[in-house]
Formats: sequence, C-alpha cells, structure tokens
Amino acid sequence: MNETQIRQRLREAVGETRVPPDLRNRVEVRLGGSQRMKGGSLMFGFGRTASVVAAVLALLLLAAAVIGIRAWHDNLANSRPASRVVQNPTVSQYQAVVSHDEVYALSKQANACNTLTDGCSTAAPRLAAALQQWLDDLNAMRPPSRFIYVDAELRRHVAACITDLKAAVAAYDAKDQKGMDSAIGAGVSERDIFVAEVDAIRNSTQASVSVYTSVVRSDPGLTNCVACQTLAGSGQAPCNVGDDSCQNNIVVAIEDIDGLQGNLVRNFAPDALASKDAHLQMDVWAADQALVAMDTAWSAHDQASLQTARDAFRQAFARVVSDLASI
Amino acid sequence: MNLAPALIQDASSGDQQAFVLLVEPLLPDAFRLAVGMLRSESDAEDAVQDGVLNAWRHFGRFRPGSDLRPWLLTIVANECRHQRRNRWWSVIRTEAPGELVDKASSSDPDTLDLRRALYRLPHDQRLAVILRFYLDLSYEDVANTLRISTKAAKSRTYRALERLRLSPEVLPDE
Repeated sequence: MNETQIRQRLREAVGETRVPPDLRNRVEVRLGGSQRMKGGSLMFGFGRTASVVAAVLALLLLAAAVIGIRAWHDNLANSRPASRVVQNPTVSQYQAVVSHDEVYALSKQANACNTLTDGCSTAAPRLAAALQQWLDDLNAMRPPSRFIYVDAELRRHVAACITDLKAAVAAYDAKDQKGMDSAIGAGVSERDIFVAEVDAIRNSTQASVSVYTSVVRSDPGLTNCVACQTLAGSGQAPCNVGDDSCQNNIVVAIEDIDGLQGNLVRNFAPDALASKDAHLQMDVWAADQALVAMDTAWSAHDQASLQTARDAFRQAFARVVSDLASI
Repeated sequence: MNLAPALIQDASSGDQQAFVLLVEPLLPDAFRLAVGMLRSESDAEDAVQDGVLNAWRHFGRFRPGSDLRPWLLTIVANECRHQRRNRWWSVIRTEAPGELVDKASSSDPDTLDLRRALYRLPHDQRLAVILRFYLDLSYEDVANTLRISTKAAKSRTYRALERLRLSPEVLPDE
C-alpha cells in the first residue's frame, strides 16, 4: 500500500471535517480572561502582595533544591567507582560498574540545549565528559561472556551519544537552532537505547530451561518483525537509498533485533543451552551489525554498500531463524 | 513559516492581538489534529481553545526563530491527551449526535474496523499517524511536534501502520 492509499483510507476512517468558521472568534473570547505579565511570565489574577510572597517562597524552594541537588551530585561524583573497574569483572561486578556509571552519567543531564541562550555550551560537555568516563570504564573491562555482545552495543551507543552532544554544542556555538535540535534528538534516541541496554544488563539472571525456551520461542520482537522479513525475504522487495520505506524497515528491524538481544541478556541461557545461546547471540549480533551498516549506507547514499549489507543481513537473519528453531 | 519577528516580540510582551494573528493561520491544522485524535468536533474545539490558551500563557517559552506550528500542535496534542484521560472517568460526556463519528462513511466494514483500530492505538502512535497522514506533515515536522528524532518519528509511524494493517510496501520520497 502506498502513502496515497494509506492517506485515503485513514481519511475515510476519520472522516473529513470543516473548521468552524467562528473558531478564531471563540478562541479570542477564551483568551480574553488571561493576562500576561510584562517580561513574559504569567499572572493569573493574583494580587501584587500575593505575587511577591509567592516569588519569595519559590526562591527559597529553588535554593533548597539547588543545595540538595548539588549535594547529591557531589555524592555521586565522590563515589564514582573508578577503582571498582577491573579488567576481568565477574557478572555482578560488571553489572555494578555499568549501573553506577549510567546513574552518574544521567545525573549530569540538564534541561539545557533547548534554546540558543540556555547554557548548552556548559551543560552538554559536562554530560559528554561523564559519558566518556563511562566509555573509558567499559573499554577497560573485558565483559563476562554473557555480556560480550550487549557490551559492544552499549559502547557504540554511548560513543554515538557523545558525538551527538558534541554536534549539539557545535550547532549551539554556530547559533544553529535546527542543527542543535537535530543533534539533541539523535542524542536522546541513543540515550533511550543505552538505558534499555543497561536495564537488561542490570536485570540479567540465568533462566531455567523452560523459561529460556519459552522466552526465545515467543519473542515478540522477532515473530512480529515484518520489517526483518521484508528485508531478508526472498521477495526482493526494493530497498534503495533515498527510499523512505527502506530506511523505515531498517530502523524498525534494528529496534526489533535489539529487543531480542535485550531479552537474551535479561534471561541468560541455562548451562544446558549455553552453546546454542552463544550461536544465537553471535548471529543476532551479526544481523544487527548488518542492519547498522545498511543504515549507514542509506544515509551516505551508497547503494552498493547498502546491497552488500543487505546480503549480509539476509544471511545472518536466516541463521538467527535457524538458531531459534533448534532451541 | 515566515513569522514576523515584530509580531512575536509583541506577543512575548503581552500583546494578545499579536498572538492571535500569529496563531490564526494554524487553527485549521490544530482543529484537524484534535478531530483526528478525539473523533468529536465539539471535543476538538475545546482542545484547540484550551491549547491556544496554554500556548498564550506559555508563549514566553517559545523560541524565536523556530517554527510555531509544531510548537502549537504539540500543545494541542497534549490537550487531546488530557481530554481523553478525563473521559475515562467522565460518564456524562459522550459523543453528541451529529458528531464527526457519524459523518464518516460508516457503512464499509473495513473502514469501521480501521476506525476502531485507529482509536485503540496508543496516544503517541495515533498522533504520529494523524500528523503524517491526516495533516500531511513531513516526517521532519512530525518529529518536531513529537519532539523526537526524524528516524524515531518514521519508526513510530511505521509501527502504528503495522498495527493498523496498513503496512506500506513502497513509500515515495518526500
């Protein structure tokens, strides 16, 4: 179904509508009761004295909040677990470092980088520095075997988030609001992904045979991954640079494959299925890498690399399906 | 959109008339969005009025130089979300006769199924679909309204279409 057909079907379903001719007047009437204060702040019928009292109270609350947050940040900064990073951590040591570093990094988030005047040039580098420390910790460790693949993914997303933050600052310095919005949007997407990965790592436990089998066989991400099947199927649906549906399929497939990867981390295989799980995780990783390569090629308008990566995805996805069937 | 900086400045300083002039061209889109989200023209008008009022109250947060349309649509979409939440516990407010839901062609079973499926979608997915296919926004504008990346906007729209069984096979370039 193409976009025109989709649009038509949805319009039939919703129904066409006509804007009430007097909507503007009614909006004006509605606005009539609300006044703005000079300087852009608002006043909703408070008297002057009440406003002054409210302002003083708000300042006191703000000061208390700032002191509290600073103390919390200092506490986090002082307790940053550099010494806990060991080259060959156990599962629980690795979980502790990743979890703590994530909390520390996220504590450096600030509501900046929204406008060209809100202090993005100091807030974003602070967060980027915390992410870099986290990345350094990850690079200094050899993850336990159950986390090998998710660790590689985690490092990729943290690194990408750092890059996005640097791009945001560059746009901020260049007074490029659109560029900053775009970079921050990309950074937020990376953050959402690594938060999900850390969640899987933090909650990773070894599953029983029945639980693991059930999780793998009923994984909703893969069974419903129409995008994966479209990209990997023998139907040869077109996937070309500049074609939006191609990129849609890639993005959705990446999310679904990541979902499966997260489930495999969260429900780590029992010893009896460790060998099969290792194959599955390796092939899921390969499929994911192929999709990332497709995404990169699509963005670079490189059709040849896109096709090569798609072939690699096709092969990896077939192996994943076969691995799943054997469990 | 080419917004007159003077109008924005006047609106920021509290000139309500300047604010009305700024939002007036956006009211049709805001209304269509609300209709798409709420199914009812009277609820939609309430949502638009509440949304514009909130936009006026918070106009100090609008970033000069950015596009007013996604900013306003975001606020109206939030109003729609509040209205739908309120309806969970409000048993008095029901679809009035003559509302949009009755105007839509309801005889075709497929259309009825699609309409039901659309209103069963989670808010964010329905919003993405309405913005893209009912308001004809570009994915970039959908992303700006949803305050997510363009990629995420495409992904959310695609997932919604999958749930509606309208999976696009080939999408034209923008």
